[in-house]
Amino acid sequence: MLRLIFTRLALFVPTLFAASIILFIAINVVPGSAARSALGVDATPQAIMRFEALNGLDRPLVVQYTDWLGKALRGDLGTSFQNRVAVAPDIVKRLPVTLELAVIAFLIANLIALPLGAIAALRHRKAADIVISALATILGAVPNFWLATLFVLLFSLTWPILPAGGYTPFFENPMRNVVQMILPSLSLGLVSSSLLLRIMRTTMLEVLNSAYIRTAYAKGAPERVVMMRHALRNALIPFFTVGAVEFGFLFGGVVVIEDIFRLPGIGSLVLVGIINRDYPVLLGSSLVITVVVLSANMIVDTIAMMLDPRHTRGGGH
Amino acid sequence: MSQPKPPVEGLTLDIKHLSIAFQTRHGSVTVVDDVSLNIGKGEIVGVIGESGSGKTIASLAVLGMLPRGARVLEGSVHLSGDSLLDQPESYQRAIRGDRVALIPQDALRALNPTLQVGLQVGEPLTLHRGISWATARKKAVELLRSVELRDPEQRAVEYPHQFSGGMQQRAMIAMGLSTEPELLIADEPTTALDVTVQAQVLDLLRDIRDTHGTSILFITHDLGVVATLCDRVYVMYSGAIVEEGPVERIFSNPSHPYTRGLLDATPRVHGALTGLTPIPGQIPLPDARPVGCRFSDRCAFAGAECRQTPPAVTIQEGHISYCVKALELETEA
Amino acid sequence: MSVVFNFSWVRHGLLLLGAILVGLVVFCAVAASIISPYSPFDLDVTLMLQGPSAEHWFGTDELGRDVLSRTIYAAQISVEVALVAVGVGVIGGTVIGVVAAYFGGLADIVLMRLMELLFSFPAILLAIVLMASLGTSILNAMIAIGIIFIPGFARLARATTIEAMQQQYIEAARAIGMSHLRILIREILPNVVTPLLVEAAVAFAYAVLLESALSFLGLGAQPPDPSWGNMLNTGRGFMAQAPWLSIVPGMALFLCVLGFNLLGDGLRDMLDPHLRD
Repeated sequence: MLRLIFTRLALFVPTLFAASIILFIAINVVPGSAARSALGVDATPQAIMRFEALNGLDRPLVVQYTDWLGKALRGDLGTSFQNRVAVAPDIVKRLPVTLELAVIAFLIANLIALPLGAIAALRHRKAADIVISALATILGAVPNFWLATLFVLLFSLTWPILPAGGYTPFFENPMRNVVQMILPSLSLGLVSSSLLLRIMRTTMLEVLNSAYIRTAYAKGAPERVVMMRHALRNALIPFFTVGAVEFGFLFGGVVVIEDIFRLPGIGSLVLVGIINRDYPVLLGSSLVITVVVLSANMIVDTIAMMLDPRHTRGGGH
Repeated sequence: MSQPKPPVEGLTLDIKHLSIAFQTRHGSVTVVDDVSLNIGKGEIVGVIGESGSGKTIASLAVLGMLPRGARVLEGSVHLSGDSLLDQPESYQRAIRGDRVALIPQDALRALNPTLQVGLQVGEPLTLHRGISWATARKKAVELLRSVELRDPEQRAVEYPHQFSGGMQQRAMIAMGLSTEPELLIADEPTTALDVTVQAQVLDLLRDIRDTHGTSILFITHDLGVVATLCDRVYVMYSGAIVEEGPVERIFSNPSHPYTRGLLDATPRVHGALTGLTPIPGQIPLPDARPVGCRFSDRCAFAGAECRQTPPAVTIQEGHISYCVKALELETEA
Repeated sequence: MSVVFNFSWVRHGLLLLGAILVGLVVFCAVAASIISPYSPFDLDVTLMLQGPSAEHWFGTDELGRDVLSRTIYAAQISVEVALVAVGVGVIGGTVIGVVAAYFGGLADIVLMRLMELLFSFPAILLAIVLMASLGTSILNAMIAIGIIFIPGFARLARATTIEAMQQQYIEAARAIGMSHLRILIREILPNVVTPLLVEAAVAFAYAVLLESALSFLGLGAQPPDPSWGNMLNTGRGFMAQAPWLSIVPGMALFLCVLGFNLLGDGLRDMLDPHLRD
């Protein structure tokens, strides 16, 4: 078992490096864009040269990358072009906000997707399945920022029961924090649940068509026992594996949702970075989000493997 | 549905005039047509037929596990005198896995890959006898021992993928035996196994019958297995029974062209090697059967009289053939 | 035993609905100048923030422009972006995927690991980072989104190519000495097209969503060009006075994405029956 975790970690580290390279390349796709973006269209060539020298942007890309990476590994993500403030501490302050939003949204999505997906598979092609599948299709087509806007329209303006934004740290005022998180996490979670629901339905359908489910019924087990004892665990394994892709969508959505509800998380920092063309800020925050997503993927993948005795117990006789 | 006939005393399984149809987009398709078969206490009865003959569906009817879209058109099924059809699901569920147990083919796929074998083998006891999991696990070890698995304590906490094919099948048999059922339905349990393991499993089933008096319904397409294990056999073709009788009689004096064909197409160790003769043609689709005798379009002896529904011809006591030319065939043999 | 619902009616109906919605959007995009009652740029500050009325079915925005007209014209941007983005993704992805599958070995491993990694990135993040360098405009949004689509199509192209390669006729073609390129084009490509079409429909939906999200953040279509995304963005500021500004463009977006999704699902059912339940 430990060997399994160890190998996953060993494979994970180069993945992180590769991801950082991709981000670095992406942001430097057009050479010289950093200075021109920061200084504006009318910047003189001398101003650009001075800016680049000051920020080390005149060095070869590989050198820039290794320098940046080296500092990043030591916890230094550079300083903002705008206000010369260190990027890393800001990210650390904002991380809990984003994580709270993402975790709650994730929980909501799964609380909806797992039971409904399982029911839809169990009642395949009957009324319940059709209704649930229709719901999933409709939810999947709703843009999460539109849903957020509609929520604010309904629950903050028309009936002022929920706040339209703002953030209070949990330890300052737990009640307020939770209330402020309701609309943002619902907007994110409801839309995310759509894909997860369809994945759960598909994997559960496959499981329910398996021979061992027929064996379970043949033993005289009632439906509830068949589902909980036999079907669920077998369906969760591929569900986790395939469903991990949802993390990418979830954290992508965080950028927009934090903007709408004025949550001081990393998502809104990404936005600040792009609007101000502040490369260290953008790069740093994007890197952290990517690391979180890749880590979540890896964790879920590993959990799926651990649930499967075919991976944890070796061969046979 | 016609009135179920009263069951004959002493029979473990009594199926009378069972007809089952599927509802498809093209209408109703009969897959089991007026099938009657019975099994006495401690008898091992084989049902032989190709895939598509309806043998598996008929057995699912006994378990009350007909697939979606399948309907019983008529007939009755009695287990030791108790009617099984037309009962509420709770009644059928109480019998399923307790008084009738299924041993399916392909044991690897029929076992839950994420549950310990011991828990799976003991599960029928927790479902039907209300005992605790701990007790069930202990009983499972005993059951695994009784099917001749070495080191059963260790086997019980392992997972199906850690077992060999033969071991998996034994575990399935142990699972079926756990509640000491009156009837075991074995659906091609040896098909996926190699010959030596096959022989061991067949011996095991015979021992079970000898020790516990369990009746066994053995479904297969393999004549050799039937010859080795079964007391009586029913030959099914395209949803209907074409011949039935004691195994020695059927094998020494096959009285239906289809049975003849099956025997000719099967390599046999004893007797002259006259070459294999496969039966020409293919089993017809349920909605494309020939009029009258359903084998007539592949039959070498078919004639005008075969366009009528074939009669039941008694060759000998207990040996019946459903062919209008059965007695002529006998003289030809 | 309950009756098995006649599912084919539902399936056909959904495909039809998807086709209708998509057709509507494309029609709006193509015939915008003909069917829209006003120009999307016609502003009249005296008419600003008026609710739906006979002259302005969906009301007016903060500069007095007709919301209906702007919504119709916005379809142009969505369709354009989706077309270009999916085009870039399909071409780039197909090339990479087919090459990886055909040549196998190290090239396959390296390329596919790369695709897998790109795939795990949050799409909108990658788009934003790319656009930081490329610049924030509609064209760059198209390119960025297109790049994001490449891994998905590459994976698909590779899978179908591998399947096609298992077929005997590839061996036969090689045996008679056909060049790699000819084999790729003549034998393998036609099999790749069908599932690609299904994926493309779903990708269209996603492209529209991404583009509108970027525009919503101010990174895509720039005012005064109307995009459903940036219309929703400006509508945010006037939610109390003019809620229709936040409802109408979103509804259009929703119907467009729904249409493409239904089309994709329906096509998948039609063309690839063994993928059905």
